[in-house]
Amino acid sequence: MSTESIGSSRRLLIADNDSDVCRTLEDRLEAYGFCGAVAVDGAAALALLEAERFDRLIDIDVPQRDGTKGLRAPRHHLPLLPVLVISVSIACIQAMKHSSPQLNGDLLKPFMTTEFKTALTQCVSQQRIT
Amino acid sequence: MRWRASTRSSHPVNVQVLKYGLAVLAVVLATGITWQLPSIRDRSPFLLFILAVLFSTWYGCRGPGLLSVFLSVACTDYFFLHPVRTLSLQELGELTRLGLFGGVAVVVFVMTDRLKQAEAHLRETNAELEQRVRERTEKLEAATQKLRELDELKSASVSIASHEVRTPLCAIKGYVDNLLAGFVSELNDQVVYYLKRIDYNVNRLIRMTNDLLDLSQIEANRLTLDLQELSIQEILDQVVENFQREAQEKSITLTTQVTPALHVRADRHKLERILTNLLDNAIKFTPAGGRVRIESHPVNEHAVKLTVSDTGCGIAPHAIEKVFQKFHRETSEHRGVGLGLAITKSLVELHGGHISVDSDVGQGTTFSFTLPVAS
Repeated sequence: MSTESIGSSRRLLIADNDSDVCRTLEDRLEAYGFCGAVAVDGAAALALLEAERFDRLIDIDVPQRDGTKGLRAPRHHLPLLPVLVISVSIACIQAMKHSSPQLNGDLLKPFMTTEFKTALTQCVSQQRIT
Repeated sequence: MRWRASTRSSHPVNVQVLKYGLAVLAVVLATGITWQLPSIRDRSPFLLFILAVLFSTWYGCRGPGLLSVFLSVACTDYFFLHPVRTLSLQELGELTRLGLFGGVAVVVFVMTDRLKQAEAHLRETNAELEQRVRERTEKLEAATQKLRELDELKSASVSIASHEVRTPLCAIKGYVDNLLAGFVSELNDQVVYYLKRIDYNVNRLIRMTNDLLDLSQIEANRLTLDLQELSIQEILDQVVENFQREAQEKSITLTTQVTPALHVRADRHKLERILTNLLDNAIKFTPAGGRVRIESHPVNEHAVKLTVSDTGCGIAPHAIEKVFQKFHRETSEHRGVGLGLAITKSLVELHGGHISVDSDVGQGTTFSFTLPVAS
């Protein structure tokens, strides 16, 4: 598997309530050259977004029922922040697309490494304007 | 109110009076007509009286029928048998004629009465049967509703179970992928082998989970498509890359040939699922050293055709028709639950496409499906 750097030290925030998923993605993102931070729930993610500057948000299924709500808050504060959504539910992804048409990428859990890398590359290619 | 109540209570009496009145009228009419028509009067003066008895018994039942019998006998005796205008009979022949007529009238009365009773019984039985059918239908509807609820519960349970296992699967796969990618440290060959086997089996589990979830959604008619314009090349590159490791391990050559700039209108996740199922199948049934090839080209201005062909063991002619059936497995030796192709067919048809299979035993199999072109 190629581990060439696509991150260029960009700062990425990973929000998920599953610490194992967060850890694996954090390690992978660091290997890709990103600088990652982890939030274990929506509130922590929001606090980090307000306190620090991030280039991208990876929103991983803040549980199924709250996924759309979890995305709405950062979208309200930082409307142009590129977001990659990863969820266990297609319905949840579709709901997020409806509530936030500018979604920059989506993945269905569990995903292959290549799928993650492709989605991440697409998300990275989006320019943060703020 | 009082008038209505009174009307209701007198209604059956009125009907009875009417029935007796009609019996009398029928006999009077029979008498009048027979009297007026010499051809009837001379040849068979009893004919119209038989009809009067028949009518009275059929319409009025037992009482009016019996009345018409007595009145008919009395009228024929009085008006048509010698000596006329008297009820007494002096000739034996006339007495015999009257006796025969009376006997026939009674037989007609009894037969009609029985027929009427049989009809009433039939009507009652019919009403009883209708009531039973209604009750059974209600029970059947209740059972169907219960089954529908159980089916929805089953689909919901499968859906929840499938969702719940996705996060732990994602974590396991993440750790294995990171280890195999060398993000942590250098690994010896045995550890790499173990990790590859874990990865292979996790991928199987992921596909099974996806199949079960898709099936539950298809059966519950809850499967919706998120249609978008997709590059065939891009989707194929991604799906094929997911199978490269497995293909290499079996020394299978995996190639693609796609007409450039070909775009379809499809749901990305579903299209990936279709290709994944067909590729998984092709690699599974192709022996070491074989070839698996994916091609794509436009059929016309509205559709694109994709084919996945292999040099595997092929499918026997008798089994071809069953390959798209749920839970169909050609032999129990083959892994999987037999859902992949059934789901694939449903997903293709949900896009408005068509899927077909062509196979030669010992030569290989080709699955072809169409998808709508992106406008």
